[in-house]
Amino acid sequence: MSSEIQEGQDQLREVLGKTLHRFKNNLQTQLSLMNIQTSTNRSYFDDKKVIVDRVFALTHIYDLYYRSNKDEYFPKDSRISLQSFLLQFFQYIKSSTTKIDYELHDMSEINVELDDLLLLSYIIIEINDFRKSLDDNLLLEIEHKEKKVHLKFSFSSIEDHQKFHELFKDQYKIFDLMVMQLKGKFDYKKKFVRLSFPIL
Amino acid sequence: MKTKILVVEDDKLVSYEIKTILDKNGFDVNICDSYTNCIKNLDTFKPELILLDIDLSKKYEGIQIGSYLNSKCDLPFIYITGYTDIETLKRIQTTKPVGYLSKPFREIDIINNIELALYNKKAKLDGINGNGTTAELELEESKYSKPIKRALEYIDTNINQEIKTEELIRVSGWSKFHFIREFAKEVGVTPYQYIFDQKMKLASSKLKNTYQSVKEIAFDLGYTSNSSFTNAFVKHSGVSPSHFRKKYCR
Repeated sequence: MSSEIQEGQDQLREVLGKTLHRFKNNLQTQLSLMNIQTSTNRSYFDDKKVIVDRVFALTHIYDLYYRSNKDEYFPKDSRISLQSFLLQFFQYIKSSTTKIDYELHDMSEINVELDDLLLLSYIIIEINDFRKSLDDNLLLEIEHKEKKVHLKFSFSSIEDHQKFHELFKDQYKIFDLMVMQLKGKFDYKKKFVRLSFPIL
Repeated sequence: MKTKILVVEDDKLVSYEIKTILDKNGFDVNICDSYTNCIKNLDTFKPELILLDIDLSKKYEGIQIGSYLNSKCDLPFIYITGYTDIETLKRIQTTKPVGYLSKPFREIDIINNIELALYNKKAKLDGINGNGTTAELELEESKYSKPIKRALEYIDTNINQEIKTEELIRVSGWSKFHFIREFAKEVGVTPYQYIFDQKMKLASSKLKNTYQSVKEIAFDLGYTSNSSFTNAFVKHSGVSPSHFRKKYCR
């Protein structure tokens, strides 16, 4: 019996250690983003809002990570339900504007690495800042196909999204780094821009 | 000529940030994201110092690179990591890094660690080329017998943890009584006093030259509590670690 308790305590210590490590890495990402922002002259339409949104994304992720794991006897990985997170995060984003609409296809079976999900939320925050600078309406659509997540976005004032990169090229550095980290890629179509990244 | 630094980090955001900081501070920087690329860069880029993420590809690949650098070449390297658990720290200590940067870090943390590592590297080279030749150093070392040399090397490698006399006796290959008597005769102090002096020397250097907290330094030196480290430091230097830092830092 005592060896079982010892084993349980060791596992708990391991989970706590991993969580702390992950959290510190995520904080490093937040700091890096702020520093890259300064060094690349990425000027946000609303700096404060972007930072607040990133902090809330981090909070939502850890909240969900905690809730989805607390009933399990020592979770083995750090994957989180993509659908649950996005529903929660879109609700948060929409609470400050009526100019965002989204369509979420059924992805109830899909779990994504916590770090990747955080990057996805930061990408959405960047897109939302582009929207603010355009004072425009944004439509987001997310679906899952063949082990990939596809995020489509479009702005009502942009007629041809093939020119989207040209429009924001001076503010693209952070965007590009995050997409590289996700191992994703952009497709620029007339009606929308699509970001695809693999679920590992 | 700019000092060449290789950054081995697979997180694109973090590596880009480090590169920006190092560029700004006048270093020549190259980035790579894997064990294989790092080994290639040793020949092509010829770095003078390496910043190394421990958790490359989420499988501690950084420690493998650390072991390689430690055994195959004399290149100083600094680990970057979010890990601060004792097991990981013990693992990385065996690879003899010259520094350790904990995430999240600030620009000043990176620069201080690098400057200190480069200063120590230069001092080591000056020691060899200036104050004495390699032959003279070898002569200096040869004043110790082989068993004592092995014990001193063991202390040097494990200075960041608790060192037990039994282990020193084991590496020397001598009996307990003989080892303690010979150690005192050759080194001039008892093994316990020697280890204590070495730890306090390192603690003083860290207090003077780094921004690590007293608690972190205590932990780095293998003390299990802040108070036992503070007591030891007071015994050695006559002042507490925080007073010592105030006295020597601007």
